[in-house]
Amino acid sequence: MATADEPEPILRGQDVVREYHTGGQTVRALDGVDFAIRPAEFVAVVGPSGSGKSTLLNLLGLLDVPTSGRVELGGEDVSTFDQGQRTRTRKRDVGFIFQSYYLIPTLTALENVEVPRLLDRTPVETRERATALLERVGLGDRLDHAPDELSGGQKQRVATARALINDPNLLLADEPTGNLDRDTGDSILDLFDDLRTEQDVAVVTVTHDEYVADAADRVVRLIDGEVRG
Amino acid sequence: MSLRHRLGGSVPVLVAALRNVSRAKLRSTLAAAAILIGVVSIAVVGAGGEAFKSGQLQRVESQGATNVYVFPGPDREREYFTREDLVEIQETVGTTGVVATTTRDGQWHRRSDRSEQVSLNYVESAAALRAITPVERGELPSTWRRQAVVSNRFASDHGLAPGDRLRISTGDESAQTYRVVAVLSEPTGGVGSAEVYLPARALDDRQYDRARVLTGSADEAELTAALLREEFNERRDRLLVFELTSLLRLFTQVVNGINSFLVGIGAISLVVAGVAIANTMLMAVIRRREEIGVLRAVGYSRGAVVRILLAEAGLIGAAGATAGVALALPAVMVANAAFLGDPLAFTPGAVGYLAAAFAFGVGISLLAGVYPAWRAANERPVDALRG
Repeated sequence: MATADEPEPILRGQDVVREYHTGGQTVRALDGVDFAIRPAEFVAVVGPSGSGKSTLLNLLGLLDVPTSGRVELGGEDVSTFDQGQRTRTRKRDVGFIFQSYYLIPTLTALENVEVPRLLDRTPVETRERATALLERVGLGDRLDHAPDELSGGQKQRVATARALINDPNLLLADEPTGNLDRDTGDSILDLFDDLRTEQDVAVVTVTHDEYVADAADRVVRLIDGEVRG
Repeated sequence: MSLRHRLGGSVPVLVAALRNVSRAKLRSTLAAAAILIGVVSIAVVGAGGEAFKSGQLQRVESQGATNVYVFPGPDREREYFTREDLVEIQETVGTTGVVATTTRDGQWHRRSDRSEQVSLNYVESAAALRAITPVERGELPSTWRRQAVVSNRFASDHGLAPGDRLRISTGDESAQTYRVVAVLSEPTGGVGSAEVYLPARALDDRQYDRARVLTGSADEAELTAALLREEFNERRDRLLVFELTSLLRLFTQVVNGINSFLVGIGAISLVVAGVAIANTMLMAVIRRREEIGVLRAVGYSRGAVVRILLAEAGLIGAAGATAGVALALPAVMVANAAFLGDPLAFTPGAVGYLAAAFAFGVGISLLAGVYPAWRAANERPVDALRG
């Protein structure tokens, strides 16, 4: 519950249910989940495979809509948004860091970071911002490297820079340290901390890594589509 | 910041499309090559056919499209025209000139022991001959009796010049001697042409096997022909009336028909090329499924995804069509040189075919890109990213 000194949540969910129909069966991936994500918060979602973590992340990122229940973004019910509005909102408010990064192999690190803003017709500003972000994540000397010339941690940092190019309020990270050694993982977590303190970016991460969960402000445990503990 | 980067920023969809097309260079090149083949075949056949048609039309027109040729019809009692018939024809066509001629085969007695066949054309008067064929050398006599006029081919083949004598006989008659007074400038081969022209009064029967009505224009010729048919052929075919305008129209129709058929075959090859593009694009969107999912997730609209993919298909098509037109141009220039005598004599029709081949090549490519683009844009990013 929000108290007087807590800021309004960026994203709030009430009794959120998400069902899938596969092979004539209905699978309830999320079964009445409540959540609220506030600015600068670091939330770790943990749970076994198939517990609904990815489904929750998709709902938080407006990639999916709930079967029932309510997801609010800035007080607005996202189920009233059409596809175009959801797309625009994603672009404005959400940054994604995918588990396998999904960098475009033929583009340089810099070009990959620019991709979300490529169609904005602001090539000069976009390039300046992409350069600044890569410098920020410590890749100022790798701007023109292709993804296959980068290590796992460097790719992760390119993916993070790409997620930040539109200046999001909410950063969604799927297993951000999954493929990384501890030191590299630490540097990613430090980066998240900096973003939260400097820009009030909320970070939600899905992880199996207890080390990440320990670093989080709050841990949400999902089991069979329900929040436990 | 490079100028190229700034310029690219104003056409970001094209930049994105160009990046993607150049990622699968071989596949894109092959698809463009398929378009190239289709565009070349349409452009070369279409524009080359146009050059052929114009060339033939010019040639036929120079052979007297302003003339109406009249022959005795199948329903006449006599297979020739008499002076009375000619008067009737003249009355029908009014003030327009009518030249009646008779062609015969004759023997030219070059020496006492040797003769060869020549084609003879008996013309009423020197004025009438002048009206149908210009004179190159010598002069036509005011009173034409015992003089001959020869075609320039005949003159050059046999070394004849004004002043020479010709001994000519027809049928069983004994040979008469004619003095060559003039050489015609028109080459032989046109309708009613012959090697040697003689005065009609040299004929004892004055029977004419054809008449030529000389009008001022191709349109007038067509009208005159219609008038003659109306007057003489209402119930029976008393006259056979030909004018080149209607023949030209028929010829144009035939050539256009053949051209359309051949261009149609070319168009089929372009449609096949379209299938190749569709295949290429479909491969591309399947291979780039996750990447397109990422684009959708980071805020690319479905429309943006469609635009990028259509731009890719369009770029492949434009590359193939541009190369196709570039390859077709020299071939069409060869056709222009062969049929029109000038490599740069592009007819409006030929330019139209070149433009249409290009537009069709790009259009087919865009069309081929529609389904892959639609499919890619409508996949839910969640599904694409699930792997």
